[in-house]
This record gives sequence, C-alpha cells and structure tokens, in this order.
Amino acid sequence: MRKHLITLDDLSKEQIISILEQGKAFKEILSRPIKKIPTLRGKTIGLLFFEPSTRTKLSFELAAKRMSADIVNFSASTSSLKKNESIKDTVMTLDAMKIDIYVVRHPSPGVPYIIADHIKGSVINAGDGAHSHPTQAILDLYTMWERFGSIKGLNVTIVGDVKYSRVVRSDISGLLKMGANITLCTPKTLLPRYVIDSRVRHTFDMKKAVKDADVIMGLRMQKERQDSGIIPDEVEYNHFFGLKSHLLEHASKDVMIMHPGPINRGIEIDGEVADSKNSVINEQVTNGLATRMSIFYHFVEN
Amino acid sequence: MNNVEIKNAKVLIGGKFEKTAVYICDGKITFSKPKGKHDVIDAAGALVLPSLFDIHTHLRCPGQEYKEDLDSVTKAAVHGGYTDISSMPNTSPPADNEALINYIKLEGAVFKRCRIHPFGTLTLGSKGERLSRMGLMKKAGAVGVTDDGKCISNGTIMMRAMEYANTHGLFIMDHAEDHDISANGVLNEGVVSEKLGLTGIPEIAETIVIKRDIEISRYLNIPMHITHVSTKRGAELILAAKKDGIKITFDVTPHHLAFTDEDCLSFDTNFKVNPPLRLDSDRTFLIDLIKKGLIDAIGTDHAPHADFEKEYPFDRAPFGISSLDTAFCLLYATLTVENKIPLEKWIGLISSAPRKLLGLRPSELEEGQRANIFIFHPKNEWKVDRKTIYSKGKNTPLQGKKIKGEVLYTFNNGKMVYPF
Amino acid sequence: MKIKSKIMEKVDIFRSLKRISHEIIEKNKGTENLAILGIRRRGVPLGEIIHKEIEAEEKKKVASGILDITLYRDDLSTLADKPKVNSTEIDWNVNDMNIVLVDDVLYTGRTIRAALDEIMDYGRPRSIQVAVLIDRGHRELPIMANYVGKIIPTKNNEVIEVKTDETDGEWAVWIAEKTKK
Ligand SMILES: [Zn+2]
Repeated sequence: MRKHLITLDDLSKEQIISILEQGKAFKEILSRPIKKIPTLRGKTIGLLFFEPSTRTKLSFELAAKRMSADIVNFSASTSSLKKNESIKDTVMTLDAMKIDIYVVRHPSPGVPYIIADHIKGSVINAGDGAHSHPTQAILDLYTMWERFGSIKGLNVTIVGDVKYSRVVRSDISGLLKMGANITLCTPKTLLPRYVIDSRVRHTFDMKKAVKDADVIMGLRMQKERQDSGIIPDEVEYNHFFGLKSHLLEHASKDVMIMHPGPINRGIEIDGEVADSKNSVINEQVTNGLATRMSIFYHFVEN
Repeated sequence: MNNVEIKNAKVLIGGKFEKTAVYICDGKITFSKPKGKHDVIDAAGALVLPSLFDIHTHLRCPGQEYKEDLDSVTKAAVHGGYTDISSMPNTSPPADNEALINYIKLEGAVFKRCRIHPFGTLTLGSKGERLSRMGLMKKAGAVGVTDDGKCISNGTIMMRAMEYANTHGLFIMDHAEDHDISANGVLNEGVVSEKLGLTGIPEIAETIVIKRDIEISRYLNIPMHITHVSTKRGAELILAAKKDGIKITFDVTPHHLAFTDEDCLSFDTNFKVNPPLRLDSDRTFLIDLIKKGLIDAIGTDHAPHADFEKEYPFDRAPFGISSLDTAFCLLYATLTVENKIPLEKWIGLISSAPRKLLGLRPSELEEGQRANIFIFHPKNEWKVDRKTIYSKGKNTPLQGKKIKGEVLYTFNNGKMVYPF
Repeated sequence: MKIKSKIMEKVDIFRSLKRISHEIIEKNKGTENLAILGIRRRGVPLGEIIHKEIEAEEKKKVASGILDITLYRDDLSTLADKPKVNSTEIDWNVNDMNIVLVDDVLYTGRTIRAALDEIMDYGRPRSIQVAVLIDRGHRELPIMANYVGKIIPTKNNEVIEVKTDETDGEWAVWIAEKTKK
C-alpha cells in the first residue's frame, strides 16, 4: 500500500511510537565504523526542493545515502516554475524516472498533495509553506522521548514565531497526540488569531512560560517580520521574548532547550543558552538523521 | 420558426405552479392552443420557468479569451437557464469607455443565444484614481458601473465616482474589500486557514468597506448595491442600514450559499474564490435571509479560469469559480432540496429582481410576453465534467460530481437556444 | 498450520546447547577473543544460555551481544508488512574477534548471509562461526553451521518451531506442516 507523510495527521499515535522506537536502531547505526546499511539498495529517492534549504536537504540526503538508496536531486526556484511549467508537468517528468520516495519542500502549502496525485511513489513532506513539516516534528518528539522515556504529561513551552511556522503546526499536532502540555509564548502579532487547539495555552510572560517547563523550544525569528510591522525590532523582541540564561532559573534544572535551527544568537536565543548543557540543539541534528532513516524505512513502498 | 407546445409540465405563473400546456407562438407565450402545425415537447415531470438573469458575470473578453470567450460564455449561460447576463468590466483592457461597451454588445449578439448587459468601470482602468467616461458608456448601453475585482480605497474618489455615476442615473455596484486588510490572503481567516498555514482574509476586510459604503450612500443619498456579500456581519450591517432608510441593496452568490471554508481543507483550488468561502454560520445565515425574503438578488460571480492556472498551488492560483453552467442546479440543490425553500420563493432573485435593480423591462412568464423561458427537470441527475459544462473554465467545485436537476431547454425570445 | 509433533523437550534443548558450548570452547581453544552473538529473536535466548555455560565452564568473562539483521534482509521488498527493526547491541570492538553467531534454525542460509554482512560493517573479525539448534536442510546459499544441536531432515512444506521461555513461555521444538489456504 502506498503511503504518504504530508502532515502528522497521516500517522496514528501507534505509528509515531513505532517510528520513534525504531529510530533508536537507526541511531545505533550512525555510531558504527561503517555507517551504511543495505536496506534501500535499488530504491531511488527524489529530493524535490523548490525552495532553498541546506539543513533539511542535507539530513534527508545523508539519511538516504546511509541506507544505500540512489538519490535524484531536483532543485528549482519557484520563479522559473511560476512562468509556465506547472508542478504537475514537472512531477510527471520525474515520475517517468521511477522514483520510490519523493522528499518535497515547497513554499506553498498543499503542494505535496498535488505531487502525490501525479506520481506512483510515496511523498514525504520536507516542509510546505507554513503548513506542515512532519519530519521535524518527529525528530523533536524523538529527542524528548529519548530523554524522558515518554512524552505524556511533559510541559513543553514554545517561544517565538508561532503564526508563520510550519514546525510549530506539526509539533503541536504531534505533541497533542502524544499527550504533552503545550504553552506558547509570543506577542499577539505572532500568535494565530484563531486557536489551533483549545488545549494549547499561551502567555505573553516569559517567566510564566518557562516555569515548570521540561522542554523549551525556541523558533527562528525572521527578519522580514519587522518590515511588515509584526514586531518593532530585534532589540525589543529579544528583551521580551528572547531565551536568556537568567530565565532558566525559573525552569526545572534539567530543562531541555531545543531549536529547529538555524539559530539567531542574541535574538530569539542567547549564546549562553544555546551552548549550555541544557541545550540539545546539536543532538537534534543527529536525531533528525536517525528518525528520517526510520521514516524512509516505514514509508518505502514494496 | 416553428411554434412549440410544451405539455405535461408544471408552469410557474404568477408565483404559482400550474399544470398546464404552454405554447410558444411567434416568439410569444400563450396558453391557448395556436392553429396550425407546431412542435411538441413532452416535459412530463419538468418545470417551465422564466429564464434567468445574472447580475455578475466575468466575460473575460476582450483580452483573456483563453479563459472564456463570447461563444463559450453564451453557451454556458443558456445551458444554465440564463438568457441575460451582466458583464463585469474588469477585462483586459478594462471596459472603461464606450468603444468597449459597444464591442461587447455587438460581438455578444453574434451568437444569438443570450443578451449581454455590460457594466462599465467607475474609474479609468479600474485604478481608483480618475473617473471613466460613464456618461458615454451609458449611452452605448452600459447598465451600471463598478470597479468589481477591486475596491476604490480612496473615500473621496469613491464619493465623486458615485456622484458622477448618479448624475447619469447609473446603477452603482461595489465589491466591498479592504485590500490592505485582505492583503495576501487566499481563503477565509479562521481555524481552517490557521490549520493549512495559508494567509487568511478576515471577515472585517469585507465588513469595514460595507460600513463605509453605507455611510457614503447615506451621506450622499445615492443608492448603492453591494455585490457578493459573504459574511453574516456584512449582511446584518446592510439590513440595519435598510431599516434606517438608506438605499442600499445587495446580492449573494450560489457558492457562498453552498460551500464553506472547510471545503478548502483539501487544498482544492476550485474552492478558492474572492470573497472567500466563509463559515457555516455565515452560510446558514444568508440562507435564512433568503427564506425571509431579505436578499435583493443572487449573482453568480461566474469567474472562469484556464486549467493550468487552477493547477497552481492554492496560494498562487487565481480566485474564481466557473458558475453559469451549474448555478441554478446548485441553488436548487442547496435552497430547495437541502433547505426546503420552495423554488417559487427564490427564483425571482435570479430572474425578475436583477432586472428591476438595473431598471430593465420585466420579462414575466405571462400570456403575450416574449418567450424567455427554460425547462428544468428537478429529478434528472447528470454528471458535471469537462464535457457537460460549456464554459471554457472548468473550475467548479462540482467538477466530477453528480448533481440532481437538469436544464432541458432554454428559449430566448421564443427561439430554442439550448440544446444547441 | 497443522502441528505434527514435538521433537525436542526442554532437557533435550539444554543438553544440545551444553554440548555446543563445549565444542565452541574446544574449537577456539579457550575463550580468548571469543564473542557470542545471538541473532534476534530466538537466537538471543539460545545465545545467552551458551554464553552463560561458557563463562561458567571457563570461569572467564566472554563478550556477548545481539544482532538484529532486519535492515540487511534480502526479502524486505517482498514483504507486505515491514518487520520491526530492533537495535543491534555490540558494545565491543569486533576487530580480531572470533565471533559465534547463534540462531535457532538453519534453513536457507539467508539470515546468516545478512548477519555476516552486518558484522562486516562493524569491522574485521578474525573468524565468524555459526551455531544453530536445528539444521533442517534446504540451503539456498553456500553456508554451513560449525555447531549443530540436531539435524532434522524436513520437507519444504514443513515448519520447525523453536519455542523459548523468553519468547514463547516454554522450551520446545515442534515440527508442523503448512496447510494450504
Ligand atoms: Zn467581485
């Protein structure tokens, strides 16, 4: 049966647990002298990046290589596509190359669905606009699950640009599925006007937000937000919503600091916090690789 | 042209259905059997209705014939039961002068299917800056003026345009949208837009302009028509203004009565329309107003697009629904089948009411009137697909779906214009 | 599935494993650089028994671990359901070790092939040996066992079921016949 991973709604709680549990086996592979397994030999993975991305693309590419898959790269700026070639035409050309898994990144929400409609393989969403980024959510869940053994009942605080973040949309969906308590901390202009889910709390006070948090997740603050009148500037943003070391005194001692990267030091997170022993930002990168391998294993079609 | 007898049907006469034979004799309606030979249509189970009038059609021509042309749009109209359509002036170039009004009237008449009643723009090029030649356009046959597709944001220009249009006795229609608020929005702002990560168009983008328009209309004492009202709040503002004696009217579209923003959850660009599909509470409120007889007209906002345009991602695809072929069937399914509003209670909103709003001669299904009628079978089921709709724009949410209720024949001035 | 008969009881199994343990010590002239690696799932409890037996007999610590060969299987693309992947647990350096792979049944030889490939990704052992409780024949690859509990000639439509206390709550070996659906 053909399966796609476009949002976390495509996965049941049990399937998420299965990916997390098996992620451990894949993480072990990454510590071997020869970090390569033959599992996807003969399979072809297409990396369709319609938007520049370094980290996510590298992670997927390496995950595919570690599993011995062949890789086809297709990168296109949307401007050239916009002219006349439709996504449908592009993808139908690619499908003639018999690709088993398409990893898709596109600035427009919903594009992975269009692609899924026109191909024979599976689609894994590597981020579509502000809609969804399920593999990032899985790696975040994995990082929490590995540390705490369970996600149920964890207090997770998410700080920053919630409104325009696909990572947050997917994280919230995954965390709620797994039974975590979520608190958002961000100015009203960066908070969706309509509630994503009534179980999600929010506050405008960082001290309250970090209190009793097991996990604090920072989000990248885009520079354009000032230009469109959403926040005044970086100085004011950092003053009220920056993740600073003195705030950690209010959090639990072992609080885990996460960030999907790349980080803006001094804006949404201070260098001391990013480099502190509480920070798992680099661990997240390794976990991203392991969980993406686990996802490939789950989603490759026979 | 042969005379025609339509037998075994129920005929809508004076707001009531009567089982009677109706005859088309020398282009006119009569209920007494004419002498001599005539064709017979056995319309058992079907309804004979006055033909329809659309107050809001995007012709796309001149300039965008790849989306729609005069041949296809007139086919779509008569297939949908319409013998009269009002064209919006946001063509390429915009209909902001008498030459273009003439062009539409002359070229539209070539196909001899339905009449086109053109609107001209309020401002030159619909740019919201200088006035268009409204007087000369009226002389050439324009029935009204509007910058539809856009909204004049400058209050002074809007007031002057209204005063000038009113000088020439032109019907003024406004597309109420604050473009600074709707900005990059692509669907209703709400739980659905947040879930999909798409930028929303808040309700207030519409209501804030309706409120302004009401105040302008009141202050200038000039009638104004707000087209395609999509929100409960917007309709409430207008109804309150009417109570205050302000001369304001409004229409709604079939799709805002039939669909909601939740239909966008599948990212189907055929549901991308401006104003956007709103909440179910907005939809049911508007239906309720129809039940109460408080809406002035229903306009299709027929907005055909080429396939490749609607194949863009949701945030890049153009707004619009191709509507003429299916509007009546969709209204019938929504209002009569789903909401139990008898057909005779709402059909006026798409036949006599728009004529009255525009100050045109009434066209009733009466003895001696021109035979502008269509025959509709409420039980026939048909599949909406690329072949069964005649508009070039196949962008309807009904695409691929089966719908109950089919237009069998359309007569314009006594001449059978559908089937072709 | 039609169960035919029980061919080994718990005592038989333990007797065999004891003998295999002694053969391993004998063949490797002690326990230096020796490692016992159980293949998931049923090779794991069998490997543990052998490991314990050898350590008890020689009174020395012997390396042991678990090998999960799922990701090295050559039939993954033919299976309807993806088998669950568990971790491989080798916390010692495989270079220059004499590794004894332990599994329940030796049949086509494909599991051992996958296990050999996986071990090679950890380094270069001095030798790899194979210990199985049952050798039922029907090899599809040129692979043999160094230590065998019992050779049981079977038909292709027969199934050997090794039950362990850990995985099945009892110790036994059954032979059964596949019935046509
Ligand atoms: Zn409009």
